[in-house]
Amino acid sequence: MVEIWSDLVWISTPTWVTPIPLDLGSASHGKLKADQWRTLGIMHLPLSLIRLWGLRESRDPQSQKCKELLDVIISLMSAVILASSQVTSPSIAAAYLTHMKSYMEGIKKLFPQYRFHPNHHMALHLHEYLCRFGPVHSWWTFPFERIIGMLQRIPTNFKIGMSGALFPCLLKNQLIHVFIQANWSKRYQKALLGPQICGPSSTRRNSALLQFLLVNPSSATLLTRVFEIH
Amino acid sequence: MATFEPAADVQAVVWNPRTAAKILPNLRNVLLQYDSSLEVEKAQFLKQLIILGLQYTISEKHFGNSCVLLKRCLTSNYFPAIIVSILKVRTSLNALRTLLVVRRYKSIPPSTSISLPGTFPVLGVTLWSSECSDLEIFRPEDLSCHFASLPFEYQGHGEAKVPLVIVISLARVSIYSF
Repeated sequence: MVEIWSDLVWISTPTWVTPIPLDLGSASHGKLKADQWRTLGIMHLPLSLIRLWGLRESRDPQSQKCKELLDVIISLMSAVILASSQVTSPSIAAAYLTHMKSYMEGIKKLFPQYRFHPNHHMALHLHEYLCRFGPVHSWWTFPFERIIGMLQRIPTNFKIGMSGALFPCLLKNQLIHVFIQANWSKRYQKALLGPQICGPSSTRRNSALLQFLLVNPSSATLLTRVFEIH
Repeated sequence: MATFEPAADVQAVVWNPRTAAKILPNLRNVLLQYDSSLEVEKAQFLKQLIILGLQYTISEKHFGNSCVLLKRCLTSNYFPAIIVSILKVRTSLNALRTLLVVRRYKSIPPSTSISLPGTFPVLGVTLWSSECSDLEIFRPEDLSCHFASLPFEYQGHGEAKVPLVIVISLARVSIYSF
């Protein structure tokens, strides 16, 4: 792990790549997000592990096992890259399946005691979805994860049943706060509300959005529109 | 795969004589070697180029954004390079051309007993010497994608330390054909 930490410092990436915490594995940075796991898996770990395990020719059993493990990891990362590609085709889907099978066979060989999870089974069906529905970007559920994240960050008193007219209003107001605080630029507000009610002060923005919500009582409409625009 | 769309970057298609600066003699020689019709004295030195929403900058501005995989023609392989300068020149025909001045990573010295254990066609991992070659000129159309890299020093049995770099392609769409 020390070697990987030292490599994380030296790895250079463009600015559009999601940054990875340099103290990876410590509790201080909290849970990694899905995109950080993906970035770590397809960029940082292969670079570091190939340097550590892939370059030295050795016949001792430990090195051989490390190389076999590297092959298994590379198969998994290849499958992830193919599955999350922005373009797909039957041949990419077939290549994905090949790599995923190779990964699972490798795991079975290296760790015979390991029991596969339902997710592994599901991953073997992903190639069918790639063929049927196209690239995963158009049908994965990360937008819903974002909504869940927003809802999780709303402060509550953990009392169920605070219903009636007040709670939906509070919830809407909190959602507005979240939208405004989370990378929601003026452009999106203008697109949603029109330029005439977008002022510089956050209070004005809040009240304008609240007004919009009160006129359009279904908050689902707002969410849908916000995410359509975002 | 990235294709250059001039309309995507206004900076790249507008000529501003006020910001044009004199080209140093060594760079002028490189330009002439690339294209003998490029007999220009002044150029605009851009700090970045935006292609399909991705920011390609000179290494002085951001090293990670300057690391690119290039391909000279359809048949050749991709190779990693660092963008040193981005030039906008006005040719004798009054046409604007944007050019990349890059230094590509050299191949590993043959004396070094090191190679990647296998091929990683999907990941696009390659191993290079961390030394860079002389300046070369490329067109923005030759750009493929960014790459992430890890520099390190390798020492084989009884060999001197060799500075190397592992490169991984960051093409969001696979650049390898399936």
